[in-house]
Amino acid sequence: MKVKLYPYLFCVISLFIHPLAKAQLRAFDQFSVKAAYFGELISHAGLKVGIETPLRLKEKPRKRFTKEKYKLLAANVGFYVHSRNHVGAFLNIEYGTRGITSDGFLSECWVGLGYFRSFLAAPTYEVNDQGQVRRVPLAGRGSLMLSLSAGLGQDLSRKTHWPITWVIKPTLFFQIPYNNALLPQLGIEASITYPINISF
Amino acid sequence: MLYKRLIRLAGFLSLLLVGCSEDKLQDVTYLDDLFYLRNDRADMPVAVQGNLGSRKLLLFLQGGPSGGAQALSYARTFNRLEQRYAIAYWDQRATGEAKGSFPSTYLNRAQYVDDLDKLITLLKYRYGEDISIFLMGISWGGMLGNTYLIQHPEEESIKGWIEINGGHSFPLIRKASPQLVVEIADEQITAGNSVSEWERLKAVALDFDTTNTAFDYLIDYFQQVFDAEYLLVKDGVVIEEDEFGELEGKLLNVPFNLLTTTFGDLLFQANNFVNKALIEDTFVPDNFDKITVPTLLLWGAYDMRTPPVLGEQALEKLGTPEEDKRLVIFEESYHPLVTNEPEKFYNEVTTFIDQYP
Repeated sequence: MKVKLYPYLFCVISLFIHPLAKAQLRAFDQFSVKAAYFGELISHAGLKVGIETPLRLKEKPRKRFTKEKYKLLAANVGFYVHSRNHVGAFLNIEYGTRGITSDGFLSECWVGLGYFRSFLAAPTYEVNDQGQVRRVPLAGRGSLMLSLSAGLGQDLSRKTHWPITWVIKPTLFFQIPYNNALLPQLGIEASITYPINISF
Repeated sequence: MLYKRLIRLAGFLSLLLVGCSEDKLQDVTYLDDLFYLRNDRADMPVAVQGNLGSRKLLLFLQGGPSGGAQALSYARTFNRLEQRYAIAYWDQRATGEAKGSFPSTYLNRAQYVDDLDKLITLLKYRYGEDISIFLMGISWGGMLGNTYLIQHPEEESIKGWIEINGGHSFPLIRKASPQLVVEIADEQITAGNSVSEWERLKAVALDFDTTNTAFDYLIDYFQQVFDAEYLLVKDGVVIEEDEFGELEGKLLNVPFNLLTTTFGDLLFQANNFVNKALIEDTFVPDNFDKITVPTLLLWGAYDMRTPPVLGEQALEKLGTPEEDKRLVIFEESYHPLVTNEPEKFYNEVTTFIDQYP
């Protein structure tokens, strides 16, 4: 049975974001778009783009400042290139928390779930029992992708006129299944987020 | 559909990396090739580097099965060998950068032999039927290579077999390893090297029950053997040459991923699944006479994991004519013989391969 992912993804995001369109949210104007460098093991470069929206905001007064705590939802697509090994492409949804001080410094944690597809970066061949060789087109494998990440960054809008947030975020992600188990991988994400207006 | 478009886009990107590479590369003189073999739900990378103009190809069978073979393509001695021959570095199923999705029941000797058989067919397809293939197996690779040669005597492209510290008989390992530990312990105690540690290790070896066939029991014992190896290196009895200097500073930018390999060995445990089933197996020693290809046996005198008596057994039982088989003991080596005496290793291997067309 073929599963069409896109309509489900759209519905899931819509369910979360529609009631929030009217919410009073200071730093993130309903939605933000994100563009990030995504590196598998830091140096195998890739790109991740996505859209995120706050689900809830809590303000926590501290002695010298007020800390804002957001619950966030994001949807992303991305890929990276591990030369002479594979290209990894993914589509995921992340749920996270972000705390921002009045100075704009922020910390965040995310958990994500999505679909990962590898494409082998070399010709791939199958040999049958009769010794006949066949080249496999677009060889690679699909798997579930579970991710955990934590980052630090800054919301520049608190001290400047730039409505931009930057975050650097080490990421641990798992390909499930992989061989006879699963595969944990390390990555790093350096992102810039920019608020946009979307009306539904 | 977005999903399908993404698949196509990523596929296009991977095509950019792969390029429009040819399927057959018979006429290439110097190779820096990479391809994957897909077999029974596994995709296994094979990097082939070196002088194909020689029409001789050395197919390396790693130990374990664990760790992968790709890192060896950065070893100085292997880079020297690549000047003379092409070398195929194959990451076996569930090791190194080999990918796939299969149950643990696929991790057995028969499956690895089938993977090897398919790989040899593919190497001939890609580089020409006239290619001369020399198998070189270390440790578990010795078990794999011997089993393949016994089961595929019809394979004419195999012109020679180099077994390095091969683990082709666990029953003999269980018997011979503690004996060698005791011998080496006595030697080191007499020499005044790490005396108290060697006395402890000698006691462990003397207590070892050679009739106990529990795999975990053998693994626990091997932890002590690793301690003994550490002492040999610490006291300068064996020297580990820096074979991988070229890798320094490059680990984040090489085709393989050391984290993947390390995590993989811990999670996939191919080593355990495969070897556990072979603990009482005598298929190779019982059928050595079916191997008739020219064979070079290289063994480290201090190899307590796969003692030299295994090499002596192979030399005695192989069906290869006397003039085409030879056992060479490396007097200053233990299990990783290539890094202990790289110059001697290079000379023995090239002398052997150059004898045959």
